[in-house]
Amino acid sequence: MSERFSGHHFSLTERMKYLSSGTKYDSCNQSAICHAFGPDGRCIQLYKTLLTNYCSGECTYCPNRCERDVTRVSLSPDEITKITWSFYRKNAIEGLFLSSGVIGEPEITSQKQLEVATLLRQQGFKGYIHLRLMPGTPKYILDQIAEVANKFGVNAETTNKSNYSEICPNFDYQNDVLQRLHWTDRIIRKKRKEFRGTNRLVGANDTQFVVGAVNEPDSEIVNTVSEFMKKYSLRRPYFMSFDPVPDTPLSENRPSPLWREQRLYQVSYLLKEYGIKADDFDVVYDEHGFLSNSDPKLELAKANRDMFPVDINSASFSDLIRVPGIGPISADRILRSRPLFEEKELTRMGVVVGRARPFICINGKSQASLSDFLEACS
Amino acid sequence: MIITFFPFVGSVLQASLYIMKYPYAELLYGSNSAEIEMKLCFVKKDDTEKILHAANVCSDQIPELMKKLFSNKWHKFSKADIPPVKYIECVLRHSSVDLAAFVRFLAGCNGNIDALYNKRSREGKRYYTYMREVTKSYHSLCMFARTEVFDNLIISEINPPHSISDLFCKWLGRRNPDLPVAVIQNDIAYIANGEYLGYKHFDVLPASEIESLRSSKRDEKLENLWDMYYCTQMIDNRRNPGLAKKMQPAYTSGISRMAAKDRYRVERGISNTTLFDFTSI
Repeated sequence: MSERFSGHHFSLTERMKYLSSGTKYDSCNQSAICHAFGPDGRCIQLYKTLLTNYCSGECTYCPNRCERDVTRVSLSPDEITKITWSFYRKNAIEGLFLSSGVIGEPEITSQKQLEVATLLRQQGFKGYIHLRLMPGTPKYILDQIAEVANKFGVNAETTNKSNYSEICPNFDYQNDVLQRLHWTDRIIRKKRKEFRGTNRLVGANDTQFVVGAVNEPDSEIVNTVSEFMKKYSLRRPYFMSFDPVPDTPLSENRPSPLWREQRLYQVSYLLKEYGIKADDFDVVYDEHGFLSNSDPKLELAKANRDMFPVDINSASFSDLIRVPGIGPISADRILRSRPLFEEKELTRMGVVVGRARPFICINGKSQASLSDFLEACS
Repeated sequence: MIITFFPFVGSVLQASLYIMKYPYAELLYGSNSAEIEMKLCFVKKDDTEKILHAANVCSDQIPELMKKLFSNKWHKFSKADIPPVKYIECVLRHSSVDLAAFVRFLAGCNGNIDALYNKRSREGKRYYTYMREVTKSYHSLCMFARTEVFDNLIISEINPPHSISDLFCKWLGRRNPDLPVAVIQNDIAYIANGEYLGYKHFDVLPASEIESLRSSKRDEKLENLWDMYYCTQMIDNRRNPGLAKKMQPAYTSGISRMAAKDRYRVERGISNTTLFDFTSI
């Protein structure tokens, strides 16, 4: 039942309701202030909305695919701008996350998204703007978006061409996604060089994967993310667990477990912040290439027992950050505050000592492992 | 001897240096010179008693004072926690701080900046806790305080436990550089971007002066719009009350009306049943 066909006029509140619900699964937070938390514990930081849920695409997992009978509504760029400003002034959000269904051509949709971001910036909006663009967005629009959005990108959805054509039959992985990621990367690099030392805004590249819509293993997703980080300077990958939607070709499929999304996020942070390589995770996958439901860093440490314990007072930064419970910030604090003599000092630096204890040696002392104990007994 | 000082970082550091030199001196503070003069009338034994005034210094001179008080290594811990200068500022803003005792504590650190953070002494632990409480309170305000938006003014009424209203006002002013912002606490109003109203960029006024500038009533419609938006972001099968309560603790509901409503939904969840469901049966 669409707005157009039913003849029913939807109020702004009703339209907002439909379109905001359409983005509830999208993860898009930046690391700034959270203004509210939903009953599911997730931070509500941005005004997340679709521009429209009219869509010409036939993506098999999507609730807004063109063949599905759903209420179709749109918000005009002016309306989105006004709502964003109102919430922002109210101190209820930090910015806007804008995605959309494809209205006819990707170019038209992206142009509308650009219009919203430009309008906000022209009105002096200093908040965060995140645009999720359409596959096939033209280069000249990407060029303009880089100057108004903090983060933007095209969703990769999956790891390769054949998987992509299976779930997004209207678009081409190579041309509509990878080519756009490549252009985005080049535009951002060029603009960073051009605006170095100035306060001009230059966006960053991001993408999203639908986890579990096709049977790609985690190893494939991790390798793709790592490749994107190298090739396209991907700032941050987002993951969305697949949930079957009624009246779609994938409605009979099983939903992806929620922990899978969480473990993939953890791996992506390990790739980005810890400098761990995608190949290093080969030892933590099961025989089918999937991660288990436990902390990947802990699994990695368990699989490389010979690297531990590391001496807190002499280990390098790269060795320290491999210890579960020690992150880049606490590793940096340790390096600056050496020598350290007590676990208490580590706690104060933000180290989760309970997790780190089996893998560290402090002041010549380390926790005995069961294998050491058995060895000593024999 | 009496050492007088203001509750500002530069003045407190200067007073700590004086107290290191004259450990038996009496400490006296006031928010301005008049208050100090008034207090001196009660405290001064006779006119011959020496009075040393620790004047406030500009922010450029603070590193120099820190160096004198804590040696060259004073900035070493800036990565491990909040920087020492910020630490001192936070403690000074705490509602329970005894300023004279804090000045003596700073002097008693004997140049060891670690004493501020390591919580080995009872005082060290207390001031560290004060610092954390003030920081937490400020962050909570930035997260959960809401504003009333008028045509020509943004107003936020708050009542934080510590003196951080000016900080919050400056923060709101930076967020909204194109509008004047007023933060009202009891009968005082802090103004940021005051030049739009003919005041200084940052100013402190009686609240009554701001009340007269309110041009319209509270926008209830916007709050309803937010309620609706909030409810759309909930994923039913991911409800996690434990995590949600941890992220939005109960005390946040006292910060603003909107935060209270959000907190209620964190506690009770969002009902799917509406009046319409009853009438349509």
